[in-house]
Amino acid sequence: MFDWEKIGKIFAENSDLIWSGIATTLILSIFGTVVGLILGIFLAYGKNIKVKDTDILIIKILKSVLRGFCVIYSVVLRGTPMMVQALIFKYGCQALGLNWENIRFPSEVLNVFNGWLIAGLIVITLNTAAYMGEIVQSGLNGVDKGQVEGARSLGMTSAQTSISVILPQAIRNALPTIGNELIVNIKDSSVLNVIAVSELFYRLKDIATTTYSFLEAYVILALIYLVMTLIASGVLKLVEMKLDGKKISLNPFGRYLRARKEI
Amino acid sequence: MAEIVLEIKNLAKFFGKTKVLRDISLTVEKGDVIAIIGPSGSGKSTFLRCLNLLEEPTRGELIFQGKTYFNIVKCKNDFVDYDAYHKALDKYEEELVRTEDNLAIYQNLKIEGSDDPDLLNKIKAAKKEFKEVRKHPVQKIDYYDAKRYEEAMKNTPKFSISSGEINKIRSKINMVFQSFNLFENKNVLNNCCLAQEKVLKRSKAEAKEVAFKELAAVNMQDRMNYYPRELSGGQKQRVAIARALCMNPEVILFDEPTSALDPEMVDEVLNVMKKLASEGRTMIVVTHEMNFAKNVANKVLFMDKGYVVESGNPKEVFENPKTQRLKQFLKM
Ligand SMILES: Nc1ncnc2c1ncn2[C@@H]1O[C@H](COP(=O)(O)OP(=O)(O)OP(=O)(O)O)[C@@H](O)[C@H]1O
Ligand SMILES: [Mg+2]
Repeated sequence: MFDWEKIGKIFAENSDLIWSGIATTLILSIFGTVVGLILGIFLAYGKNIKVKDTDILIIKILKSVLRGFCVIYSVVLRGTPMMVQALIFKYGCQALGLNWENIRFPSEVLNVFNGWLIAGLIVITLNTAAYMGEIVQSGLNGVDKGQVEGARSLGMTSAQTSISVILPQAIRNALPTIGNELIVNIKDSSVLNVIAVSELFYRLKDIATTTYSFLEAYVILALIYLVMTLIASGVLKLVEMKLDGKKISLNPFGRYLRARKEI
Repeated sequence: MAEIVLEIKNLAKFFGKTKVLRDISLTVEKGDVIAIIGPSGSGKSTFLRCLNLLEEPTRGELIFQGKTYFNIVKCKNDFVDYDAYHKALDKYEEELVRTEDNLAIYQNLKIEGSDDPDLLNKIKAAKKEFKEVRKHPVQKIDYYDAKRYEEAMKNTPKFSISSGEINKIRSKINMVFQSFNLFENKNVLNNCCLAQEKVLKRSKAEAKEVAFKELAAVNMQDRMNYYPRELSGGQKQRVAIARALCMNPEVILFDEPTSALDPEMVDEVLNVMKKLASEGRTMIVVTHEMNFAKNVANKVLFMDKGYVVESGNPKEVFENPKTQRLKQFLKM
């Protein structure tokens, strides 16, 4: 039978493990989303490299190779499950003589940092990058291109134009989707338990087997994931409102006033 | 004699086979206000865009303050081997007729109710062949004489300009667009500061000071913190003008600056432009506002189909048009 008392007990007795699981999951999902976004930006630009007639041969070849790599990367990583990618990464590294288990950190904070976490971070980042590439690309498509001409006609370089004008807008437009990717990562980082990354799912599975309270442990797990994703989407809403220049008010009846300083 | 700012010699621009600009020459002196008028599609925008190399001309020479920044004298089109071209053209037409006839024969057979079991496949094949031929029309450019072309190119010094130099030129020849093209993610003040900081390497404080001055000049000083989406069309265009002025340009190119505006906002922008003209700014203005061309410009070009058909001072052009085309355009 389902036992509510047991839930409290499991939580109290294993709170250290659970907190370290939460910390690991947060590190994985936040790092994966942020660094994945940065890589995704490069990927989006890489997929759009244009080979010009005026380029010399070596540049033409280099551009084509780079572009091909970006396209294939994005197709393969989005077309296969992250769990499988993690396993291939683990055994691939082993085949090359690199065993992540052997990488140790001198002072283990909350039992969180170890070699497997590093492996997990790499896998989730590389996986997220592929999705972020698509997200950034559609964000870029949504930006009015007249602004590029506006900037270029003032003498700005294409890099300056991208960094100061186009990318900020692309990312702003894509922010809801990028935020969604964070929420997906909070949940999907659970598959990294297959390579022994001790994130939240891994911890609760452990607790479930040692206490023989499977149902209770997994209900706790579900609740924690739910709380985490709800908090994450709340924070993202606030960030979006802030970017839109709306005054953040915790009063649900307060109107969002445009803060405008007059000079 | 006034100082010559910009010289355009024999400018041409082709997009593939469409010849948008044929052969345009123009000398722009300091303080000139040149109005360009002409029907839609005559190449006015393309002309302006060639001047700051937003569009790369196919040939011609561009000289800014005595310094050549674009120069292509010869292009492949000048070396077309007409014998080969016409031969290929004849062959192409022959093929076209042959395959089309072929197709027609089979189709007639079908209508007549022929009992050839293979007829449908034959029609399909004939159709395919016909389409294949039609897909590859003969293009002049494919029949240029490579040997003569290369020889000529060897004897003309190769002209090239770095992208850094192009950017420097662009910062001196600014453009104001029909669609404003303001930076949507920056407020009015930062729209004016960005290029100053990035291109002219001015300090933040310096850039701000210049921006204050130029925004005041277009009467937008009380909208510094607004974003483009919060401005009316006329206000956006005035900010775009201020953004260009901040770069201390030698020439400002206007591409139909009032065409996207509601009628009641046209005047506020035209008044700013009149003020600039009276301050002695050098301007080239593509416009449909004939009154502006008549009263403010000191030179008017009438363009049609890629040519400058007529040019001269406004009085000549508007009161005494020589060509039928201009008369038609002015509805005289
Ligand atoms: N990038 C391009 N590729 C192919 N053709 C183009 C391109 N840009 C312009 N053209 C063609 O060049 C011709 C002239 O265009 P342009 O925009 O210069 O005309 P315009 O005189 O400015 O007309 P409008 O008054 O409508 O603005 C048009 O026929 C157009 O279709
Ligand atoms: Mg135009």
